[in-house]
Amino acid sequence: MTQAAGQDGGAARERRGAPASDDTLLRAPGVVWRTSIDRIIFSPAEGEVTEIVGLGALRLWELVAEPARWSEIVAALARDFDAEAATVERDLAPVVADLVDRGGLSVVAAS
Amino acid sequence: MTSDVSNEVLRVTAAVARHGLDPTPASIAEEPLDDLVWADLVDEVRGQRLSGLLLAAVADGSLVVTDGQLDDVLELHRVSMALSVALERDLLTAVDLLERGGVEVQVLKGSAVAHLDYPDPGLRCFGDSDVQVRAADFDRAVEVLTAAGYDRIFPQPRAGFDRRFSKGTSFETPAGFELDLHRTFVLGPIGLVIDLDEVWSAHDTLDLGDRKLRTLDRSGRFLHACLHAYLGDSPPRLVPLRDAAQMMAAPDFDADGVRARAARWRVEAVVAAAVSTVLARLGPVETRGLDVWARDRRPGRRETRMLAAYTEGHRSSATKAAAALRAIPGGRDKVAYLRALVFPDAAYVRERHGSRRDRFRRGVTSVVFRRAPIS
Repeated sequence: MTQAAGQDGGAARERRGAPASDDTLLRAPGVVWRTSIDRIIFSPAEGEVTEIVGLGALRLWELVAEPARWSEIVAALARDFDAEAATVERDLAPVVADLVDRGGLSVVAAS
Repeated sequence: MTSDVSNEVLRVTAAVARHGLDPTPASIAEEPLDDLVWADLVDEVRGQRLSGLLLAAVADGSLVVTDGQLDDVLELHRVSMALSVALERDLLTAVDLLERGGVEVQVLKGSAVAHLDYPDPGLRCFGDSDVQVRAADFDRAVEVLTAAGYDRIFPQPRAGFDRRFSKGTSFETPAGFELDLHRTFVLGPIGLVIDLDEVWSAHDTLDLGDRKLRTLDRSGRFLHACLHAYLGDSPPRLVPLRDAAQMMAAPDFDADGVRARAARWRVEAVVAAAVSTVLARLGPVETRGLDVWARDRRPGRRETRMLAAYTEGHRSSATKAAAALRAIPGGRDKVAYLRALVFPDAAYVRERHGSRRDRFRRGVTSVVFRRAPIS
């Protein structure tokens, strides 16, 4: 974990691994992006233009238009795709990790 | 292209360019286009930067495509969106540089219009970045960008020329993209008569990344779209025509305010012509009464003369330069303008033209030729 600015401007812990249920996910500060049918295309504040493909990733991106808890995101995707929450969580965790690694998404650990 | 293919491509491209302006989507093609037409359509859409609207037309079933054609559309849009985000990152870098250098900037065209005037920025594609700085800051802006490794594509004819007379200049950015640095909106006489203080008097804010960037307000963006549409290319490109139509369709579009602003910018004739061109190229669209105003308005003699520099004959820069000479107020400025064009610095001549003698001949011929029938 590294330190990052929290939503209230105070220090918050940024999580690098799989999110925990109460963690908050948000688009990384400074990211510019577009979507195209089945993918997100984004340029992080620092780093390369990146594409993440998949409808799950796309729906996740919509859900983090405003900061959202991991548990809420999983529940919404389970509803949207008519899937078990555990399955969504397992499938989506690598997507989240990819988005975080590439500078598109921040995961702020619940204090 | 055979004429049948060509006509079909032009019809479909124009229909794509107006897609989404009607309350219910109009059908563009109920059967997939044949391969020959499709291949040319893809080229045309790519060239006109309409891939966002093409994807929207395919997605809502207005344009029926084969699986292979769908793959083409998705790839076209993917590439265009990747370019858009790369350009926006490049734009943010340039704005940061300029602001840190003490230069106030406003964003024009592509990114600003995509985010502020379209329901989804993915509908509006673009291929470069455009920013405007105040005339007094122009030389400083060039200095800041050049020091940061931006490569000016063409030098100015003489020191101070761009700050006083030109539309602006273009750079290749360190990332390899094009950045257009504007002083005003168009080359030639109309660019010179626009009141630039008035241009900077109202603005909107564009949220991009974690930045709030200054841009023209909607009336200003509309007038700029009209200038770009009618004076930019011949025939007019479809994207600025669509931009104008898109803005007129907005519920809060202020047609009275636009007309008043056009008068203050001294571009009423261009705006009227652009509105008529929108209707001619895209078909019936919401104009908030500007169509009637455009139809009934009679341009004055001076406006007609200025427009002619852009619309008659070969629309060369020499013709615009000659017309611009008449638009410059004051004898000293006229002399400075003429001197810069007829006797430019050697670096400018090397970059843009064959020799000083050729340039002198072209410049003098143009001025003499254009003056004779008018005076």
